[in-house]
Amino acid sequence: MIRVVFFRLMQSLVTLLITSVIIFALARTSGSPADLVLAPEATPAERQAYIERMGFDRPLAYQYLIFLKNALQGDFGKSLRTGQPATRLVFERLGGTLRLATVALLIALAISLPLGVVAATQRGRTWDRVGLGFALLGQSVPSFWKAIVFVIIFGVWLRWLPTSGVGTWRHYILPAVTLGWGVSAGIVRLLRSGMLEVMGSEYIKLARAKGLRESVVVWKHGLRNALIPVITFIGFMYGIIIASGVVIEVVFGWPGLGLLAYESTLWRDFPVLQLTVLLFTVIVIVINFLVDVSYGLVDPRVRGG
Amino acid sequence: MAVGADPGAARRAVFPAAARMWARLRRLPLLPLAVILLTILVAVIADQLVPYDPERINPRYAERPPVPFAGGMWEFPLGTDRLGRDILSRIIMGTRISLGVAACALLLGSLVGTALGIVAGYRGGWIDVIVMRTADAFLAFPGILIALVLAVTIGPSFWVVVAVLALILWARFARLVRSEVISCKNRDFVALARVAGAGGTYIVFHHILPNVINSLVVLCTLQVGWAIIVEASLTFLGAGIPPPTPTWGGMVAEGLNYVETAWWISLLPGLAIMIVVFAYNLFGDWVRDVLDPHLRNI
Repeated sequence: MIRVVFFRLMQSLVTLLITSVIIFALARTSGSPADLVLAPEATPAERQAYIERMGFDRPLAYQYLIFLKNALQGDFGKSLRTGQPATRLVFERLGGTLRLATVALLIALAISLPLGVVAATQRGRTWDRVGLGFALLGQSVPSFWKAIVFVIIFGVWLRWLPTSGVGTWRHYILPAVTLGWGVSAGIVRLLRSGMLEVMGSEYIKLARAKGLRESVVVWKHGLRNALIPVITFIGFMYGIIIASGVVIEVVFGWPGLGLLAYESTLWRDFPVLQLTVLLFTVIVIVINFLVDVSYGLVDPRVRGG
Repeated sequence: MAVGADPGAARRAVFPAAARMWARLRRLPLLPLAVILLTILVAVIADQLVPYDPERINPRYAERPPVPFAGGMWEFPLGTDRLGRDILSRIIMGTRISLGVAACALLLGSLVGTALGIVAGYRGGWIDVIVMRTADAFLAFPGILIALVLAVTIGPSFWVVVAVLALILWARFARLVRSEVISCKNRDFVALARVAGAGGTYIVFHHILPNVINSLVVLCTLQVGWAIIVEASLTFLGAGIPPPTPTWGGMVAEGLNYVETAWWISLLPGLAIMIVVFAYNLFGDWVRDVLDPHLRNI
């Protein structure tokens, strides 16, 4: 098990290194990174000093090492808009995004677990159709449009829920449901096919032959095994939630990383944007690492390596 | 029982594969297919189809609702936006952008991804490690944020959107193709070809590629909807296709601040996205069931 964890950790580090190369390369697609990081009113002397300090006049490999060194020391430059260190601005917003994503994931699970199981056990009947229809709708409707429709219905017509900002638990409902719906689509489909497979297996027959109640067979023996693929998927989903959360945060004015990225784009605040992207990918990589490891804990077959 | 008693049975016995194929074809999703063909047609002849120039501003007829609502007029069946531009014309033109971006991105992403996936799967070793770790890095990347970065560094454009989509798509294709290549490169027919003296390139093109093509088609159809949604999201955020080009995502964004009074500006183009993506997803599910049922989880 320790060997597996170590191997996965190494894999994640390699992925992280490649990520840093990509972000480094992105900053250079515009020609000179100095134009992106310095305020437009910087004097030529300041510009020159910055270029020398960051080594922009040196070979690319050297520039990359400097970028890496600064990154490891947590130095990502200052926000062009406020002058504060980019790290401070970004970490202020991190909590907002993680809270929203977590609530959305919980809502998604609360909807999709029962729906997926019922769809599989009643294959071809009404609940199966409801489950698949729900999933298809969640996948086919862009999240920003779902968000707008919810705003029109619950915010403008019915006036039940606040449509922007944070504060009470009521502020979570619209953004988290919008976000969770898109994700639950994948979970419903995955769980349904997993359940169909599991319910045809020998140990389910045995459980039934023992005379267990059908509900115990389905919800305990069946669901527990059908959940394994869902768990791997959750890591992947968390990444999607965070990424598609950008749009949701913009529509609902939710003060998270996504809204920060959007504002930084409008202000052309490159240092903040760069750090936001890096943080997003680090979160996804860390979650995938944790999921891979916990997968080993849930499924003994993986443990051997 | 005499064989001649039921000619259908005899035919099924002789051509079981053909009979099974026919059974599946009968479940062809006609409505989605019709929508797909219609939208492709609309995208191709959009120039001839539009009643008005989709970028023409006409303040006299600004914010007209669609026909069934008070103030709607038949000249503008789906209403007009804040600047008096005809929404029907803009949706028609937007079809071309949405499908064009999806087609270009899929073509680029699938070519690169397939090539790298085959190399990684077939050669294995350190090439495999590098390609797959890079794919992981790209899959970990939130594509929307890459697009935001590029919108700042080189400015938003059609090809930036295509590139961003392709950057994510290639990794999906590479993963799928690699696993398929690995599962078939150790099969007997590949070993036989090698014994017969076939070279690596020949084996890849004549023995491995034909076995991967089904999965490729399935993944392609299933990704069209995704590509359309991501393009619309990028444009919605201002990191996609810049105005005044009419795009579905951009139209939704333009109406965002006026949903209380002029809901149709945002709602109608969103409806167009939903219908088209719906059609592609339903069709993709069907293609997968016909060509490659074991891919049920992608």
